Amino acid sequence: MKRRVYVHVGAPKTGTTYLQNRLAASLGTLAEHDVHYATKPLLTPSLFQFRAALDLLDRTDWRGPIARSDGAWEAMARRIRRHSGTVILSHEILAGAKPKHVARLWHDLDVGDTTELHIVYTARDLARQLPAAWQEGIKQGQRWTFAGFLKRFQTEKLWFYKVFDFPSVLTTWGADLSPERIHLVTLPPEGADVPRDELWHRFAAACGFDPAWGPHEGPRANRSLGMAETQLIRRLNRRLDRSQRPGGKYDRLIRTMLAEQVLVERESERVHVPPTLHPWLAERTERWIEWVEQSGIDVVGSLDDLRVPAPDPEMVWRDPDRVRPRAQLNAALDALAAMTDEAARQGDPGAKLGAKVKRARDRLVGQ
Amino acid sequence: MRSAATWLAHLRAGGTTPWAAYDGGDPPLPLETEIGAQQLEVLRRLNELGRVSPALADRVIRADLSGRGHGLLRLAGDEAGGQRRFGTPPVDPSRLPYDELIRPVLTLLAEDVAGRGAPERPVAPRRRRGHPAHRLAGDPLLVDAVRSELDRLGRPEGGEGAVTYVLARALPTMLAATWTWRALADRAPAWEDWLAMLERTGRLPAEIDLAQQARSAGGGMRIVLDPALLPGALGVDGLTAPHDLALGADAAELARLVTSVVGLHAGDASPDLMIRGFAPRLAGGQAAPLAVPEQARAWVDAQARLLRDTLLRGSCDVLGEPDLLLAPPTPLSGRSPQEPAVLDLALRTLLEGA
Amino acid sequence: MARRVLLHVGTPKTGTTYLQDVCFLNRELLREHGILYPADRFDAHFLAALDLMRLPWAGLERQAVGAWDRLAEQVRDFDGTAIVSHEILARATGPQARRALESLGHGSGTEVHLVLSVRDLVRQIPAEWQENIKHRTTTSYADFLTELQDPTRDGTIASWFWAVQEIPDIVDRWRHDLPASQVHLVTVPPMGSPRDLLWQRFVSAFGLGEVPLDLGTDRANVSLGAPETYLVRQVNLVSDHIEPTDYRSQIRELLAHRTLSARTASPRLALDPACYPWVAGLESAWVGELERQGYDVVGSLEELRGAEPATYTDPDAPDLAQVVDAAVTSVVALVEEIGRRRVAEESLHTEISELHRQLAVARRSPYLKAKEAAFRLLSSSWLGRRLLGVYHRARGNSSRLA
Repeated sequence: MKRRVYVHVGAPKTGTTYLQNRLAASLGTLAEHDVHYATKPLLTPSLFQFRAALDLLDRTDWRGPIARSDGAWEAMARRIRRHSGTVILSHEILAGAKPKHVARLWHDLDVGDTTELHIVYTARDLARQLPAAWQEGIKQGQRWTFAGFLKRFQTEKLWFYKVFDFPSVLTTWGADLSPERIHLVTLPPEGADVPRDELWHRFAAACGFDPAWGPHEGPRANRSLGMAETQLIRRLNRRLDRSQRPGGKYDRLIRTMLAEQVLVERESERVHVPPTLHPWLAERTERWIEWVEQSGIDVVGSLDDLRVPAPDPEMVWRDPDRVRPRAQLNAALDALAAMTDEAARQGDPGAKLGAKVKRARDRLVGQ
Repeated sequence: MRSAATWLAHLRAGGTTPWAAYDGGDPPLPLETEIGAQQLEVLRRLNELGRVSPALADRVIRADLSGRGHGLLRLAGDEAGGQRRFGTPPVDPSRLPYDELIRPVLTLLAEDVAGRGAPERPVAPRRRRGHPAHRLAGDPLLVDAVRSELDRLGRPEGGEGAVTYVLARALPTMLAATWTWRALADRAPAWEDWLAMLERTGRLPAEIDLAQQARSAGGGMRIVLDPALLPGALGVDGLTAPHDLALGADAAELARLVTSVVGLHAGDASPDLMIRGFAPRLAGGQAAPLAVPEQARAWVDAQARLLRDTLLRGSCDVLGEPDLLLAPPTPLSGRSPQEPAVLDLALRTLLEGA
Repeated sequence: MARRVLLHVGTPKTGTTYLQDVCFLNRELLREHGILYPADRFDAHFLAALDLMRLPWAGLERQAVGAWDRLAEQVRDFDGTAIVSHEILARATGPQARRALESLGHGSGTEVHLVLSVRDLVRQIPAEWQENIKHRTTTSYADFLTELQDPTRDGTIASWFWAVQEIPDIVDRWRHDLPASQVHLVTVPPMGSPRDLLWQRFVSAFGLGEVPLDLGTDRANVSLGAPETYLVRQVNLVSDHIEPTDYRSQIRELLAHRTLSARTASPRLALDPACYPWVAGLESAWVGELERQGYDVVGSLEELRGAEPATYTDPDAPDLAQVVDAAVTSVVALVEEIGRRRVAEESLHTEISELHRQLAVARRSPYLKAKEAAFRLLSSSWLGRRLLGVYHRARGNSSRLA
């Protein structure tokens, strides 16, 4: 085989941004060792990968800023076919692929002939996944309360459920692949004695390269929002109807505010799932772990990492749908300050451009 | 009799006895118009500093109280003043705070600024072809000085394809220069308040935010940290080291206060009059320079290091060592403005100008 | 020389803005009825007041140079009644007031009347605090009340408040040798009075009864409730870096006046009941003095004794949930405004491109090229410009596109 292609299909909110940033930052050193994070000159790698993934999945309905993905998958496939050695493709929306998308990838990457295909999936315990997924949805314009989100999740109809359900994802992606070509990477639990880049080491192990070849970490990932900030964005989404108008002017403004880290997490608290949900989470997790054990797929890390830790009986669960008004006010003031600055920066268009319009008109009338 | 009128007569004659210690004099004609304790005390202090001409004394006692504060205050223990049940209680003028006393002085200084005008601005020469086109940006005092020099040498700004030269120096010095410029040309809050505000918003003022300028420039920008390299870069002979309009700490604060009221007298001509008329009167001398106070130093130093690192990493052309951005050793006399010194300077400036 | 001048010098928060807006809107009509409201812009009297009193005002003062003299000149040149009105005039010093009176013709044959609209102190105090907050103050209500109660009146807040609200002192400073019959106090009726009663009193005091005034202005009541005032104060604490123009348009106009003032269901500001005895004492002293002086009163001096507040919400500790809601509404308002501006900006850019395109087309036509060459030639000579002027007038030149 000319090359080995590792497709990292997900899941969302499992440190994928960290991994992608690190791959991009270490592009050169990896390439020296014939490990290629497929990219295109003059384009940021993650954007190239994102567009390719969108194109592969026919996501013309993408709810977000315009991605201009026509032909992106073709371009990606061509680049990959030019490489030998190890090639890495990574985007978490790939978890939502259907069999026909997988088939197209097989065809375009010449799997079986010149390409040895591997699938990589990073996974974390559901108790940490769900709050992150909810917050991601809010950032994208959704307006579910946390309780509403969790209820929907349990019906298994939510997109987030589908992509967290790795038995299902890996069955689709792994059809026609022998189990040792499928790699489940578990995220190490957060804790003081776990080194920060343990995830990178596990990912590198799954993809068969030496982690030392990717020393540069890239920019720090965005800090997560706290409860108060998330509630604020949720309320704004409702009032501005953001989800109905993706890519619209309000959508862009909120995204900018989020991107610029205006809503810094102060003492605002992390979101946790309610203790009452734990039995359901535990049952689901055990079912999935059983599937892994029976499937024979490669596990990097430990299946124990996926088990939801028992809720701490000492800790009082804080309902993220009921945030203390003081915390909410602080978040709102931050947003207010940001928007005021933005309006000030923008200025009054009539004042700025009025003279230009008049001049142009005058010159025309002079004709 | 101890009254405003008798004390005024004493002051007009050059007397310096404080009101509290004043014994009284012969009852003269009653006052034609009300005079405030503020104006009377200012006249007394002027007498302590030097000879006050009758014309100046007249101006002082009639001077309006600029800006916010009390109305005309009455003297406590004025035997001629009737019992007034309303209005602000009478005061001992020597206990008046600095920001009351300076108000009439600011009115008069502002009138002077408007009245004297400023030297004619030399007309910028036309650009001649054949010389590399340039624009200037950055530290406003440096820009002003260099721009004047270049105009004088026949090399004005502008032209197609102009390269922007961003003039910079040690960050603490640039902060002082930016604040001083704004204090003259526009309106600025007090020095320490301004620094606190910058720290709170985490942003440097736009003129000296080199990192931001580098990010938004589409190429064609060079940062100049070492002024000695500028003549070579521009291909200009005879460009001497720029002598910028640096005011001492108290002078800069006084200018700021005058700027805040001069608009009433000079309207839109105010910035020009302040920069080219008033500031030169205050420049020079042994005055303590404006320096970053203790409580802001950590933040300023951190910003300087950040800027330096950005320049080292960045793709922008830098003339001179990025380390020049870091703080020079603070001169022993460098400090923030101090109220008593500002008032003293205001009174002396008034005396000198009369 | 004006025959009569009605000089309205205060006090703030007594409906003066409405009166001034109506006068400005109807100034042509008033002139036809022999009443001059000398204003070429809606804030002409404000600028004149800044000029008279040497008061800087966030840069606006640059437009005020010579404004009082211009106003006074217009008054002197008019044969009829003139109205001059701005509530900050209340703070003028005695000498400034005398200068003002003389410049308007007092002592030279003009009958100058002093008008003061006045309201009970119980309502004025919270109203002035709110006005301060809308002008970037960050002082809490408690601190505000403390400063007001300091007998020395030191500090910008207390010195300003009493200068513009202490009725007997205002009249003392302004009156000079005007007879009591030429000093008119218009009292603001108490809560619950018919809505247009105050306006009727103004009409009576200013002699506007014969004029069919257009009363429609779009300045609604812009007062804020306690949670909203608290919010603006919090915003002030973190927005001192914003330029005055931006503060004016974003915070004061968009947020305070248009967005937050619409929340009329929230608790209103009121006097802290603990201060009532002190305030009532002051009101009594003032009413006694004003009665003694025998000024003309439109309304009743008894209305200056304010009613004790029935309910009280501490505006320094409002219901935070209400504040949060107000904050979210404010963010939404700003986001919508930014969105609007972006749309406006885009359409202006489109218009500019379209005009440039038309210009390019026009330039390509040989006939129009010749015309443009002729235009340029003519523009460059004095005679040519005169000829062009005649041409344009004959054509009825308009700047609208064909």
